[in-house]
Amino acid sequence: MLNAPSKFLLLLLTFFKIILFFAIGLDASKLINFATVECIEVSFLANSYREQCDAVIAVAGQPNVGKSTLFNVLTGRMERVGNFPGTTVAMSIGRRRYKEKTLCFVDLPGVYDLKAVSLDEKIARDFIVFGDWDAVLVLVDLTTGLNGFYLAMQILQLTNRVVIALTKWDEVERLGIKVDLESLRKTLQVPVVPVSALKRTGIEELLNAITLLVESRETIGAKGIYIDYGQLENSLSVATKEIEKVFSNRNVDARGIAILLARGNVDIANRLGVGDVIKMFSNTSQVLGTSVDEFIVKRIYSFIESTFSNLILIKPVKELKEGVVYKIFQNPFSGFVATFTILFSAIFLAFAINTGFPITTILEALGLGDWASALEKYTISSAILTFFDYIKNIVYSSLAESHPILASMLANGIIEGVAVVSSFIPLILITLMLMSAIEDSGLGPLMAVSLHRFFARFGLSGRAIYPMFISLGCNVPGVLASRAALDDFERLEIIASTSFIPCQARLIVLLAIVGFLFYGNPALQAIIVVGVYLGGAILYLVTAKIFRRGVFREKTSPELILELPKLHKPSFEVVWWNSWALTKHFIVRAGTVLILIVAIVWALTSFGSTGFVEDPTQSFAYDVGRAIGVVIKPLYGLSDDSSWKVGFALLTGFIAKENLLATLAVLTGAEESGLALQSLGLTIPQGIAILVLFMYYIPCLATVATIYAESKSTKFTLLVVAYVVGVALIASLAVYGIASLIIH
Amino acid sequence: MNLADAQPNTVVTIIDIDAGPGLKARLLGMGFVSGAKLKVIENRDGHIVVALDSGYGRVVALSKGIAKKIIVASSTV
Repeated sequence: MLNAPSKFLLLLLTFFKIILFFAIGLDASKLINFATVECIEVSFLANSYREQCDAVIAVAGQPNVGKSTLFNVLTGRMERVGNFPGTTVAMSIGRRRYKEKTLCFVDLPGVYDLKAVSLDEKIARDFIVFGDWDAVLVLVDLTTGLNGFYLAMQILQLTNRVVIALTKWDEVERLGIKVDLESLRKTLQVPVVPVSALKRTGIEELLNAITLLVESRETIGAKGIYIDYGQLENSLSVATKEIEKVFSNRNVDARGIAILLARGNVDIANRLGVGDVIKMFSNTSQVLGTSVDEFIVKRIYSFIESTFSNLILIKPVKELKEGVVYKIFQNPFSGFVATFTILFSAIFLAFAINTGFPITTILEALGLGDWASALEKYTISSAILTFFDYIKNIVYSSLAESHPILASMLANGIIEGVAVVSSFIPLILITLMLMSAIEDSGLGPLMAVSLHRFFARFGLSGRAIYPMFISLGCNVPGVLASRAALDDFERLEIIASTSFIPCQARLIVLLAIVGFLFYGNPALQAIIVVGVYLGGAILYLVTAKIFRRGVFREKTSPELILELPKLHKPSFEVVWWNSWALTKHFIVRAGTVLILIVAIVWALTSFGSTGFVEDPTQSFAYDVGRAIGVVIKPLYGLSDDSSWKVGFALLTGFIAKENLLATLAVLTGAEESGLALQSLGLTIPQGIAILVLFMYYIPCLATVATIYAESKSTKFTLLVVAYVVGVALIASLAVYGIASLIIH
Repeated sequence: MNLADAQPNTVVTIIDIDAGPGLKARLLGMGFVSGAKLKVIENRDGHIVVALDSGYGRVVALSKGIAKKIIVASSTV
């Protein structure tokens, strides 16, 4: 069992893991699939799924438009089915029975524009252009002015099979924004429904409008809204004709695609085999005196301005207020302090609910030990562990006589794995809810802005705080979160730096090793733990700088561009929906991976060339471990016995870092990790050095795979792995040298 | 002048955006188009915060490097 401070740290890590989902805000959807390293190729809607839907509705909107809230109100629940094709971005589909029809809503990534620069934008654009849908629901938020129509107009140029929902209607009315709905509907020629997901108004009308649209589905081609592009019209008609020859989708107007091509969406031209169209448009830019893209964008904005400014009166009663909260976060110092105060208060609350710590420690310090132990006994996590201990004992004692191998595998492998996963559920749910509340209130982007200046010194933007914090939970989503970066250099810097941040798995290893090395010396334990994290953070920042200056030869600092949504009171329902969906995801992913790994390690150490073996030195594990042990043995002066065990642990730790400890426990036959370490007979300098090695030595297999998937470069992946291994070895040997001098 | 030099609580009009294609596309998508009126809310050492639509639109934080690429003129409204 872990002691209270260890628990605190373990929970701390879990907490950070959760930030991964929420700090990133609109990018949360792509992190949901954090453990899915491989790109699963699925058709836009898996066939089996398509059959269950009477109609498929694509839900599109700009970031901060209130999409996830409305999506949840519409569907009540989220189901994730596979990924968008060729990506690791999860596709969320929610279903709703309405008038005896099953409506399936596909949640597209929030994007400002249909011109695709990032992966999110490409997914949203491609689903609308090529996807198999029956209607598009476009969300427009009028509380941020007329610019909200920018995405809607682009979609309307592609298709008229659209329903527009004006979101946050309660807020729109409160701000005194006047909207002439009738004229708006006439102008746009599509249904326009004001909705408030918070107040649950307009939902019935929205579903009704969608159903009517789906039923009235015509067999003739869709007609997009017409915006006159003046000098560009000739080229657009030529392009439209070319596209009509090769593309037929009754949902989509070819002219809309021609406009996308004119804006330089080269990948669509290539996919349709009309590359010449792109050349034709680039030739016209001289006539226009500006880039074709800018010309079109300006036309769309001026169309919005001239069309809507009479229909929508945006003169809020109250001027947009930048309250005291904004002021706090704009100031570099108070912003920094506020960011950390908020995060640590949330941690404190989550831990206290789940385990009683640190309240129990305070009670003990006050001499109220009985109260403390009573409190600890009845916390959620200890109740769960007690329950699983009970089950484990029953299973083991009933099978130990007849099937000793099976009994040990079930009790110590599978049930233990389930117990660990289960004990994390309450904490994950509670912290997810707190983080979700912070995110839903709009504080996340403010935090990133307040840290920008500090990060800029290390060649990172303020947004890099997201992947960094996320990596504390797990490095894989940390690498994926690098997509938040604005330029490719920053993205690769983040990818290269990520694995120096000790993930949650490594925390467990860290706690066990310091608990053994400095038994009964909590102050020293704490110093080492803090040192490992501080070291990781410094290596992260320094690596980013090294890669920016040394590898990419880039001298400028990265930039930041981030929308600051209005602050508001978080909605409990939104918070609950978000956190429960992600908690379910954790249960499935962590559960399956953990049990699989336990089985593999168990098999490798229980079998050798002679079949089933009792003695681990006869097993396959020994052969592999010895090969690695030979290399590290002379560096740290390890014994033969401990070198192969550490070597094998390093190998299984490469598969997943939590294996470092589990493997040592299995190899030494010790029940507790402390005893496992003891049986290795390490001196304190050796122990600290091995600890440092364990912490940083290599990105785990899943992280390496993700680095490759994200960088698409074998060379870069190998460079990063070699760099990490090299830095870890140097750091570890340096620590060994220093520790040997101090301690004898 | 460029946006980085704009004073807080003033409204400026975008004249031109002198940025590479990727950044420019992102700015255009958010509503930073020539002719747009920006209200400057904060102007700090590291970043600047502006609200589009003369203060009624979305609020965006920009680092100084980006703000320098946005050429603006003082606006009377």
